[in-house]
Amino acid sequence: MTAYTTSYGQQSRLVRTRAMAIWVVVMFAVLAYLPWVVGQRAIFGVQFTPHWLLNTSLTDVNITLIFIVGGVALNLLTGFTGLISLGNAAFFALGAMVASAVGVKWAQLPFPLVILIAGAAGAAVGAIVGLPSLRIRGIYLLLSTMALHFIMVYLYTRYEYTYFGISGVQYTYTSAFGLDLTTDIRWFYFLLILAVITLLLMKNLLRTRPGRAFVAVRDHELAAASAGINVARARVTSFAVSSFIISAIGAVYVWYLGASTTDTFDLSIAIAFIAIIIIGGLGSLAGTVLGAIVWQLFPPALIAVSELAGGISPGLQTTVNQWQGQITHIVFGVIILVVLVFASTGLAGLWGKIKQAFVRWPYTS
Amino acid sequence: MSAVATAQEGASGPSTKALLELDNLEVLYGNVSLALRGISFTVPERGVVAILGPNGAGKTSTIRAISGLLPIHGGSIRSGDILLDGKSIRGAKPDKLVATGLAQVPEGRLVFAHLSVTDNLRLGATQRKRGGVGDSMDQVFDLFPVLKERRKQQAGWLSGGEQQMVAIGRALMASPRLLLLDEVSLGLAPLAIELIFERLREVRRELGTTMLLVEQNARVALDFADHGYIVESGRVVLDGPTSELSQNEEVQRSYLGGGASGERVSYASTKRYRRRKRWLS
Amino acid sequence: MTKFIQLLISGLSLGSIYGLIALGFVLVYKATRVFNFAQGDLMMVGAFALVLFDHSLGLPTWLAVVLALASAAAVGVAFQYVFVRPLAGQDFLPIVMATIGASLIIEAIVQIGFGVQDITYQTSLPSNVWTIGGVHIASLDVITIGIAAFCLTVFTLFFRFTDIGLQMRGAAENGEAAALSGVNVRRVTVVAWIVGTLLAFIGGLVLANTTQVVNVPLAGLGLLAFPAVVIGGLESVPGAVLGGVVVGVLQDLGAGYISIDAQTPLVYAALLIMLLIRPYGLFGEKEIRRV
Repeated sequence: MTAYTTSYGQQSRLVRTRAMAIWVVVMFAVLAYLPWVVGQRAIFGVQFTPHWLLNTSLTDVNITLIFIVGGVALNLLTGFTGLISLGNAAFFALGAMVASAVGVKWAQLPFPLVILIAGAAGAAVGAIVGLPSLRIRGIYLLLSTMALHFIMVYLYTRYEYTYFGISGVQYTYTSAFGLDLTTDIRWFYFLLILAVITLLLMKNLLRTRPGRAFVAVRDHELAAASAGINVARARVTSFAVSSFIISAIGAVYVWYLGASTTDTFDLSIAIAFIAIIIIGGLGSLAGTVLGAIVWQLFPPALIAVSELAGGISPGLQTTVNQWQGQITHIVFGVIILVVLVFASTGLAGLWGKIKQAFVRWPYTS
Repeated sequence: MSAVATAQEGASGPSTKALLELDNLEVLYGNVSLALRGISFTVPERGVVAILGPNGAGKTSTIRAISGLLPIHGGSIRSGDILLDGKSIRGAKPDKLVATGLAQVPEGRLVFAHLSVTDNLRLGATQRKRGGVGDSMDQVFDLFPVLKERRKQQAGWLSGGEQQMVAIGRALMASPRLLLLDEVSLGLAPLAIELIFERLREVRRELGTTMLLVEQNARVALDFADHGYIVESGRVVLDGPTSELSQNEEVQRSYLGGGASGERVSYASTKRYRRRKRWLS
Repeated sequence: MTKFIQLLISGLSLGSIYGLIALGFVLVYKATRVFNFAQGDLMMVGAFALVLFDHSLGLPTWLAVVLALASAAAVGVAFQYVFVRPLAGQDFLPIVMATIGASLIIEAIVQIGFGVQDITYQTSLPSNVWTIGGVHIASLDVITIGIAAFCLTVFTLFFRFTDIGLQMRGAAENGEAAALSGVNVRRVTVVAWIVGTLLAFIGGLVLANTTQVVNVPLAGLGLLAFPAVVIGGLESVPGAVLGGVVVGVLQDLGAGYISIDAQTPLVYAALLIMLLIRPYGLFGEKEIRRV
């Protein structure tokens, strides 16, 4: 009963079975209490060392939430519509510029409005970028998005030099719906709500006709066109929606950081996003969540592990600490390779297989 | 099990020695799907054998097993053997097989679209030792004059029939002893089919090449070959000299669209008939 | 005017290096259909190989150069074996992602091995400067351009006129058809990667001698080879080098007349324009596809 749905009404609900409903409630309870756990390193008053949490801080958690939103948007474009893009960092930069212009420099609009305007700018640019995607395929599309990246970052640099100083673009205005966003904990709840809203919107989009059109265009363009889907419109819409979200969350991102420079929008950020959606699983929303968590929380976890190992061999600990960045890169490179070679559906696919094995036991093949 | 046609023997006809022999071959795809369930047949030297059967019967799998291309498609030989000239070639690599005198004209032509016709032909001669490549190319151009006209064009722009000629020419460039032809008539206009098979007859006359062809077009195949094997669901269900096969009532009903007295029988009634009378359990 | 010619010449020299990277890149692509995001990293490894043999091991320079070039074969085979072969048959996105992962791993390993600081390299090539009509021409620039021209000629001939060049083109076009024509596809692929890596290493050696600084960010030059390849034509060997030259010249002109930051976006803007008006590049061919 808990494994398969038995009616169409049940199938089309978001939370399908009673077991799922219980899990959702538990998850939200955990998430609500999480910032206190992380911030004070204690559960209901029971103290424990940072290592139990793998050395994460609330800042890491908040950045993870931001990357979840950005990753989900990229997954819409690449995983579900099949349009590969290295433009994430570019849209972050665009969102930052627009947000700075309307939120700090020439107007001080309320934060939620700033986010929406940044998103709208992203959607406009995204739609324009999406137009040539009809004629430009595969690798050329990838290079076009790289071009977008370099041009956009250049514009951002000009903007920064012209209107700000060496310390970069500043974002000082921080309050949403009357609540001042001054502490990490408040940011956490704000970002959590944003992330949940984005995930819900995504899930619904993919369950409805435009979403199915995206997937159809990805799978077989000619067949989709023969079925009456407007391929051009599907692609441009995908670009626009995806870019809206990325630019919007880009504005949020720089506001959280407080300041931004050209380095904030390095190409490596765009590469990081692609790594996240591949490791998590292209075409899987839950996978992106997992991917972002792994990506963001691995470096502090590495330090924590090395500190634990330091008890055994201090030499090892200093080596790991010295080459922390490089080791992180090597590990992620290897994970990407392993996922690509063996489990092309990523972590989410792996989880799905484990779940299926449990559900079907003892009839597993 | 198989009887080689004894009517024509001698210098210009098929010999009694088998060039190719399949022995109870079982082919598996992806560890789950058994495409061939024990196929056996022989192809005599200088003879022409046709494999007939409906879609999905396992005809292309047979060809792939012989030419070593199964791994590319996720297949493997589960049991049985393939003998070329008495030596086992099971599991041999495709390029080595070409060197031993085996050439394939694949299903769908598979020409090198962006390369010129000449380059396509040159690639067919990859395993040839230095000399004679130019002569072979002249031979191919004699056989298919239209290729000579278009020799500098990119193969992708040629018509279906011309591409088929390129594919056959490319195979001939390897100077093969055994030519494997996979669905050569597929997608071609009737006139083109006639032309191709006429040229293949010429190849047979001039070079004495042994041929194994896989065909869905039963009429053309039975006309061209000496001996035929009907394959259904991975097994050989009938074989014999093509002269006998074309007279066989079952064959006429199922593959030639004719009834006992030669009148046209509708496919619908044939299906009903086949469901009632099964050759396989 | 002299400024323009000056920038043109330095651009040509820089463009020659891009041309070498692009050449290796296009050869690999033409032979294996793999878009190697890590081609710049291979070049960087070449430069470090020279440093290893010349500085760290203290061998005579000529021997260091020979060994560095010889090691290109080993590196190329290893690269193909670890990062490309396991993904045979997959779509181009996983393959590109694998090469991106490769670049992450390679850069990290080089940093662990050689440290994060810049390494200065003393070139043993003649480094005079001639002045003609107010324009300074460095002998190193001339050498760079000469090497690139030489490689272009040799490898164009190799690809167009040798048997193995034809086999590579056939294998890239249709692996199954090549196999049944008798081509040993695996061997041809390995040869292609060795040649591609060798060209990357040559670029790295030249770079070490001209800029005289060897560090990991050198790999970033590879990112500018992509516009070179698109402008010249993804399938064209001479086009790659020409595209490299165009990129080098554009870059120096951009730095000279606009600003240093404008270099990369200017080049990529040129890429965009080329994609919109002539996607298959200056020398490429239209794609033939039967629907």
